[in-house]
Amino acid sequence: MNGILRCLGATLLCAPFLFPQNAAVAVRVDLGSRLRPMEIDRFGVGQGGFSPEPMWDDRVAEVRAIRPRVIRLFVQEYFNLLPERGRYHWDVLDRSVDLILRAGAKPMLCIAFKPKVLFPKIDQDIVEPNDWAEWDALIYNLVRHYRDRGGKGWYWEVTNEGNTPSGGGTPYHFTPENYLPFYQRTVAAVLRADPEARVGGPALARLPVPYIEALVKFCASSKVPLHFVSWHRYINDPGWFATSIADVKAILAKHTGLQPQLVINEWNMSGHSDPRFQPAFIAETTYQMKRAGLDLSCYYHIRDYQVDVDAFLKFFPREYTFRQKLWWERHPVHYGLFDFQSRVRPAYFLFRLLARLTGTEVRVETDSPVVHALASNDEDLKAASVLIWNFSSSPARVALEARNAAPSMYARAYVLDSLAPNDDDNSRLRALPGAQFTGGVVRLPLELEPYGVVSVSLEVQ
Amino acid sequence: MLLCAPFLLPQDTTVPVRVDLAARLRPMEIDRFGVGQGGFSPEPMWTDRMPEIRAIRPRTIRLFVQEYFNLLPARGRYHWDTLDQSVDLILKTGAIPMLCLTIKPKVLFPVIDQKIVEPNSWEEWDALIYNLVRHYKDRGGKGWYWEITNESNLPSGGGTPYHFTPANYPRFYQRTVAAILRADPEARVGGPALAGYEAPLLKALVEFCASSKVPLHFVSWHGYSNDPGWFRKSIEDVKALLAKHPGLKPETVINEWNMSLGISEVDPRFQAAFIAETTYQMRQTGLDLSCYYHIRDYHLAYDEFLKFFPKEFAMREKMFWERRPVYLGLFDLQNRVRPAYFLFRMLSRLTGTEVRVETGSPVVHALAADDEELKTSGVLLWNFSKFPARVSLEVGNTAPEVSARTFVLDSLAPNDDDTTRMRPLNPVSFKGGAVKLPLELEPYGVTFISLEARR
Repeated sequence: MNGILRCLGATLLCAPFLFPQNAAVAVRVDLGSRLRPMEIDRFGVGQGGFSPEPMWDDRVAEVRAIRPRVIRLFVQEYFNLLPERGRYHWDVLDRSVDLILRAGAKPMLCIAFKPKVLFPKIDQDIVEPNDWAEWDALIYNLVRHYRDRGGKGWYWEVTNEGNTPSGGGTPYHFTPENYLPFYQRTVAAVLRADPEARVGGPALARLPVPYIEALVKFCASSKVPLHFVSWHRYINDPGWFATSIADVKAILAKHTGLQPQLVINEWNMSGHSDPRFQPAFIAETTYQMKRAGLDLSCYYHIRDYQVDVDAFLKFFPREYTFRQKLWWERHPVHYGLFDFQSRVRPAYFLFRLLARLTGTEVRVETDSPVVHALASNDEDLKAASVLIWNFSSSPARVALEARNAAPSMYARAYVLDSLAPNDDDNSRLRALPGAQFTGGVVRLPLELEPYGVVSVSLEVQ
Repeated sequence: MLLCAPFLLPQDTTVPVRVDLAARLRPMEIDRFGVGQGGFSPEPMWTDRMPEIRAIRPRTIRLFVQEYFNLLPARGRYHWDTLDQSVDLILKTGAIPMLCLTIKPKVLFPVIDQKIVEPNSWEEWDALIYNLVRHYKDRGGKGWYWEITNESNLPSGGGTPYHFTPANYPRFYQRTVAAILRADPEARVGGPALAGYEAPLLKALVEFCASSKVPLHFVSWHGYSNDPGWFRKSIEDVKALLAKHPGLKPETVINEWNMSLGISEVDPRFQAAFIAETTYQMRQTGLDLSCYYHIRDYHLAYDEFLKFFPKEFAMREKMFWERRPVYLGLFDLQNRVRPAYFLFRMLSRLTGTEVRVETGSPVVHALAADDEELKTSGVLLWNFSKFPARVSLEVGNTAPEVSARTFVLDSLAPNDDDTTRMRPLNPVSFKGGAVKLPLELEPYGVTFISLEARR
């Protein structure tokens, strides 16, 4: 979360790729090529850590509809898991965890709490509990509680953005050195309760190399489990994400004994004035992440929500609490798939379109640096889906050609209309007239507006 | 599916609409024109819209009792908790449940085959149905509507797992309603919830019930057509069929209806005017009950369907509901309120006694009612045409002094705020027992006028 604050002064408003597209961009899809399972569900979502309430309870059906594989949740101190020594309290956290389960996703739980009995003083630089045995027992019993309810094999992440002074809205500020014993003790307790759990971290704000190098080196040399490494970024340039994945892979390549999953579990744009930008940004960033071989992502986030200031003041430095309050309550916030009033944003519809990419990924070729596409073929549905977007401030003409199609196909195209005056499903996903094709080839001319997104459904007749 | 745009001729002249508040016809009972919810998920799909649904006061709300409620998880063991949540939601709105029985418990139907329509144990089936109805009767729910299967004249059973023939439906019907009525003698039983109305299944059911003295309290069918005249004709034809069997007096029920399915582009103003005109046609033809389809568009619980529904048809359902434009819900997939909901809000303002309305147009119609308790009359006017219309509204025999408040249903407004969608015009006062109000109705325009007696 703090990555957002850090980007305040560095908001990138530059529009990438400003050149207009004069000639039609060829987008070629080969429905006969079967690359791999699409697994678009790897690109999931998360929820900011603002309140102990289940913040998107009224949107569970909508989140389930986009089928995220994982949903990340901050296990913050406001859940009050250890109200006093030896007494645990899971009920409030259970509501938020159950919400994730109702959405059909696997929880990715970011451990970010600091119980008062173990951390009596509010000081983010105090990062070790006054009683390690009590901490171990708390972590063990927390994980055990969910395992007893059937929740094994979940993702457990050790703290959040501990490389920043405000801990990204959480109460830990680590150095590369003192993170390591905390990580080691915590994951040991997690895995004692659930040997199938996936443990990792450090959920870095941006990608400061010393932190990730220290963790990787430590885990490799000390044989400490590291099932995933995670980091965050808020930037308008999708290329940054591809570069960051390559950088982390390079670090990991030095330690071949480790095979952690790569996880970007907070990401979004830094900000943009064009309402069409965000959906195209999500499409392009997902594309870059997929191409670079990222294992999992959690878009930040499901719903913008008011910070529970009173709850934060009990465990979070006052100065940073008010920074959070100022940011979330007084600045324009563009992150949620649903806004503060639970209104659905165009970004949500991009995830709806991504969710249509079911079945097997098929080959796509484009000859443009800004018009890209993802396509898949679903044999059960007898339908292929092509998602095409134009990550540019200039419009683009596209000539879509899908080869090796069934002898008779019906094509339906839907424009993601981020500028439509209302949020109706059929306004946002505006249907174009359908067209019939025979002979195993579909040729469809498309006009993509600046940052335009179109989904084409090719249905066997 | 009729895609023709009705009544294409423009209206050049002013259409007179005359309302006589002294001509008191009958109780308005606009609540007969209720709503239903599609059978997509075991969740109570419109929980957070309960106050909004209660506000439109439907007399009945139809619910699919689908297999995903898992009512018979093992022989002799019943499980009502999940279904209770959806039934309780209906009760919270003040409506009577109309429960469409489409369950196929695995223990009684081990093979997923829509043509297998008889359980492997009739005794267990009877006991299940008896205990289901008894469960709700014990909770105070007597006299509910119980409908025997859904659109089973179609191979896909309209998203449900039965495909009947005219020969095998009556036996299933007879066994099932006997169990219902044993549990609740006041229950209302019927069917066959046909897709369309011309399939021979309806004729077979009616003849069987008449000849075998099997209870048939209502007959039901469905229509998705842009032509309100289709609904009128269907009611006339069903009534003609029933007239051949005067011993039967079933209620006539259209419990799924909406505009044509699968259209790509529609004028956002069309649906609200279509609902008004279709309700008008249903009412004129003497339909007893209707359930608009439906309350909320919802994502299909696909994994649940695969447990009892043929995979091929589950895929078709998934394709339709997830990848095609869906215009059916009063609330869309993201729970956004649609203009159609506001039409139901306006309909629900027609309380009290129906009064006579005359119009001189085939496309501009109106319904009006006078509510003595409110000391207010309501006139709902609409223009079921793609051309605008000028209307001269004349209301006779009003109170000596009235205030007329006009609300335009603005389906094109950029937001859903209550007072944006139902945009008020400046109120106008009238004296002398008559109101004369000129109105401009846009294409598919809808306007509501509230005539309030000065107190």
